This record gives sequence, C-alpha cells and structure tokens, in this order.
Amino acid sequence: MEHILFYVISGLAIISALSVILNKNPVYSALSLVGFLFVQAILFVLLKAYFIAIVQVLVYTGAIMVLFVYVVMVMKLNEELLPRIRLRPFSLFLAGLFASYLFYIFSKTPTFSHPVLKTGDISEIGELLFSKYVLPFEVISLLLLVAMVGAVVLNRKSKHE
Amino acid sequence: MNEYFILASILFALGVTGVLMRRNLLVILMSVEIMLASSNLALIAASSHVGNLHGHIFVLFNIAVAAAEAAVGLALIVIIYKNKKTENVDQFTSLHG
Repeated sequence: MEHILFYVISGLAIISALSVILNKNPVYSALSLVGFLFVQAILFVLLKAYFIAIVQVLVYTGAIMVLFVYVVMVMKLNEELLPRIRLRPFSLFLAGLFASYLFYIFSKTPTFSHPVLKTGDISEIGELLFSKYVLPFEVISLLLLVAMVGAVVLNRKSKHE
Repeated sequence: MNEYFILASILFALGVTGVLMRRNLLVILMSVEIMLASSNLALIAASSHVGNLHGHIFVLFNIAVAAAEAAVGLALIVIIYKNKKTENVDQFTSLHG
C-alpha cells in the first residue's frame, strides 16, 4: 500500500516539477510550484517527518509562494509576447550528466535495511534544536533579519530620484 | 540505493534543467527552489534511515535559508524589472558596450 502511494506521489512530483520548468507563463509555473511543494509535504509524511511536512506547507506554500505570486503580479505579462521555450540540447545534456553523477554517488552509499526511526517527534526536534543546535538557530534568526532588512532597503525609493 | 534518493536526484536534475534552459528570471528562481526542496527530501530520507533527527534540524535550517534567499532574490528581480522593463536574462547586456 505504502509503495503504491509512494510511486503515485513521486509521479505527481515529477509531473509538477516538469510543469514548472516547461510552462511558458510564469503564473502557471508558480501555481505548479505550489503543487510541487505540497506533493513534497506528502512525501515527508510518508517518511514520518510530520513536523517538517507542516513547516513545509506553512513556510513554503504559505509564505514563499505568496511572495512569488505577488512578484508575478507586479510584472506586466503579455501572453502573446512571451517567448517560446527552446529545449537547449546542451543544457539537457549537462543536466543528464549531473543526474547520472548523482545516481553514481547515491549508488555508492551504503543501504540500510529498514528505517530505525519510529516517528519525527516534535519534542525531540525541539530538544535538539535548543540544546545542540542553539547557536545555528540564533545565526539563522540573524540571517532572516538581515534578509528582511536587505529586501526593504533594496526596494526603497532613493531621495535623489 | 533507496527510491527516495533516486526521486530526489531526478527532481534536482529537473531543477538544474530549469536553471539552464529557461530565460525568465522568475522561473530560474523557482527552479532553484525545486533544487533546494529536493535536497530537503534527500536529507529527510537519509535521516529516517540512519535513525536520528539531525537531518530534520538541517531541513529546518534549509527552509529558513530558502525563505531568506527568496525574499532577497525577489527584491532584486523587482528592481531589475523596474530598470529594464523585462525579465528575460538574454536582454541584460549593459556590460556589453
């Protein structure tokens, strides 16, 4: 049952990722990306990472995609003026090379027989986050603050205009 | 070789294809998001196979970094669009002389 579900979900993920990169209109690409991230949250649930799945839906599909859609709305998109997508053979070749190298690396990693982890318990994550990883946690909050200030400063109107 | 790793590498390669193939700045940034998300998938799969939660913590940090990257990148795209009136990468030839 879980295997069938995994194959269905991974097919959906590949289709939605293809639709992100093959759609001519960025609006459709953004909506396909929402679908992709949602499908990925389902994959996280299959891996018993419930907290990460919720964070994925809240942060990615909730916050980041709203930003994307907002920026798409800012741009003036004319359906007729959008350029046709050219399948560049060299880029496809490079991506294929990359994928085969990734396959090679993953085929050399040792396989584990079955998952040892029972569940991604939120209390254990919190314990790890605030004991062993407390310094990276603080650094990441600083990074988010800097990114927020940077985005505001970049889009401020300068006084000289 | 685990099937989750195969799926993650296929999705990562699709993201690389998008970055190399597309000429729209927004779609390029979306492809970068695909790559980040697929690396998250590989991390979670590895974490659940090793049997500890360190991969989950790493994914949390990864999501935060992706949020910061999207915020700054989209701000830059808005400025570029205001100045150039286009989002096609091939049109950015100011340094060409």
